[in-house]
Amino acid sequence: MDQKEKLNEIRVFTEEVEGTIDSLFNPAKKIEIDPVTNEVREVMPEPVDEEAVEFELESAPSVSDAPSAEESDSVELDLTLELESEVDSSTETTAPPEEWLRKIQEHMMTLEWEVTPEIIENFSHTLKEPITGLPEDIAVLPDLMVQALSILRSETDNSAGSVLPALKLGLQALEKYISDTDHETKAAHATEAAVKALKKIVSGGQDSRESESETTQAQETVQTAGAPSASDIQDHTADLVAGDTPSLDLDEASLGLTPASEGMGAGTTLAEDIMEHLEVLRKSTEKIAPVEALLAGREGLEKLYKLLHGLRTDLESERKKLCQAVGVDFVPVQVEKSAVHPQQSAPAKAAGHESHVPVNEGPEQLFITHCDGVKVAFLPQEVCCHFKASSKMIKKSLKNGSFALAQLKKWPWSKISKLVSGELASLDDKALQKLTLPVKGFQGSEKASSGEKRWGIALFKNNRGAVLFVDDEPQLVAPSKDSESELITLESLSRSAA
Amino acid sequence: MALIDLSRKEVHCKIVYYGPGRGGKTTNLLYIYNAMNNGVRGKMLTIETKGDRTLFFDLLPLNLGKVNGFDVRIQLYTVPGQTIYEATRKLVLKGVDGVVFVADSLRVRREKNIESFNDLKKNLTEYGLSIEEIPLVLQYNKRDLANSAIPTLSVDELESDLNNELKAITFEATATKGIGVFETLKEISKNTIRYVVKKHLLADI
Repeated sequence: MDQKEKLNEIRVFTEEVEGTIDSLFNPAKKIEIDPVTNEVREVMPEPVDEEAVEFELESAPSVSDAPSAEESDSVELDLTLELESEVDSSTETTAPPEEWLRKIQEHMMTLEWEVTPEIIENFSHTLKEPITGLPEDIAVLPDLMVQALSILRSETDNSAGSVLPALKLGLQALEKYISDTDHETKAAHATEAAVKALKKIVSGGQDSRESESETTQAQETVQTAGAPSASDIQDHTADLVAGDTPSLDLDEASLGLTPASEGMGAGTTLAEDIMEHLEVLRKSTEKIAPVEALLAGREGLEKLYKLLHGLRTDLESERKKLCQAVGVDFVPVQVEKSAVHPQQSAPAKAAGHESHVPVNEGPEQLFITHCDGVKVAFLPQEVCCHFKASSKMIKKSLKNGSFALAQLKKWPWSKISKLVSGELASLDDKALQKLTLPVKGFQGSEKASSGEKRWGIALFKNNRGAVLFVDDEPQLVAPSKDSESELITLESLSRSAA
Repeated sequence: MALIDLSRKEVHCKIVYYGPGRGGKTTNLLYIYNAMNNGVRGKMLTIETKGDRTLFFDLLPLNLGKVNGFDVRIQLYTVPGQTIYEATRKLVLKGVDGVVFVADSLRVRREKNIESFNDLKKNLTEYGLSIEEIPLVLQYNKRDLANSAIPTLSVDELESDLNNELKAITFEATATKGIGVFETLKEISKNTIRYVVKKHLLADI
């Protein structure tokens, strides 16, 4: 192939590509893209619009050798001029609401993009234009918006966060009225919300955070005004959620889920999400509870116990609130009663320290009796048995400093294991017969010599035990406010001995 | 870099939509993608940011099919316009065969237009390309705002800022409505094909 042929081939190829580009690179349909969300919507073909003709003329390439995007002729130019003059003359008196609204929408978009004094000024100027046919309640909006803009101009940095949403509400209310005349009631609601939000801004008396939050609420109201009503969504959602969470449905409506189908879908998801959160909260609380129980009564870990206790109660409280809000029964997580830390719940008299059994946080039941005339309490889980003690038995035990469980036997053939409970009950009789427990006194072992006692009480837990002699038979009772007593535990006794 | 494979009869070109942030580069591609026939355009690769700015880049492949036995493909790219994404812009510009500079008609964006245009010049130079040499089309976007109360730049001002010396072909556009979008695309595509053919095929003769 010679050079000339090759050049010719390249020229043909280039021309063919250009021809293909011309035939293929064309829009198959007319669409519009939302400049804010990039949402694409198809535009239905409309009858010839003078304004579009005017704009198409302007969109032609500005360089003469460029391919012309649109054709133009003098007749259309004349038409454009006439249209412009019409608009100008009408603006002098009163602008048509639709045109005025369009300008406001543009100003709002610009303001959302950037806040400059110039933009604010232009926005205010448009708002001040006289508009035909606005009823009195709507007509107040432009004035309020102008005032809000002046606040924005004076303190741009501080007020933008609250002024812009309020302005947007104003715009939405105007849109509702001007372009959606079938929904006058909804427009009235939207106006009310917008006026409220704008007045808040203008009055300037509110804390900015409060104002923002109220504006957001009002915005939700405006959005809801154009959407299916709360009851509509509630009805649809109730079907899906099987009526489990009626109060939840109202929340969905307030979330501004506009299209009904979206509202329904989101409602179900929301209900499921909340139930999921509740389950996670419950499980977390359940996990904390045994750790809290483990830490209870451990010396030196009081702070950690307190922390976990606080954490658990906080979680429980939040879960309770959430359950009440969504209308679900609240079942508290059961915490082992022993999980109550002696130092916190039973400000225990740790043998020698003044303390009292708490009424609300303590164990459900206690063995109550008297020792040297003082009302004392024992934890049921530590009490293995109590028995009537003869003076001989007391004397012997006090003398030895220990109490042999074999002394519990009333007859040679009776079994000790039947007389005891708790951990001791699991031991066989032979082991129990050999077991002796140290005898302890109320305020310490040195006071255990009193021979007045008539009853003995044996404590045993975690391979640790003790016997005390008390004034009267221990009674298992629920602690009450007016019968505070001093708690004696194995722990307190061992600390006392130490 | 354009790919011209004579043995496989393939021609691939890369066109980059450049310009300041929020100028309408992605909107141009979105419009092309949504308005064009399915047979011509491929799948648009973009990181969905719900109307927010482009994080990395957008890519839209266009296939012209067989032309004179050649498989002709054009890839459209956008760059993230924000100043901080300089490295990404430079990377996307690598191997470029044609550029559409999308300028913003908003008056407040005037400085950003100039800054971005200078950035384009600088990045091209770093790849050994010249803005005078490479196919370039200027698109003055958001011209619909010129009829509104929003302060906009006139075409003369845009020309003076960006096209005073280059005298490149320009189009006024409103990318959200598709005005000027396909005109820009056709022009840059033809110029790029001519440039690529001239550079790669004629050079061999």
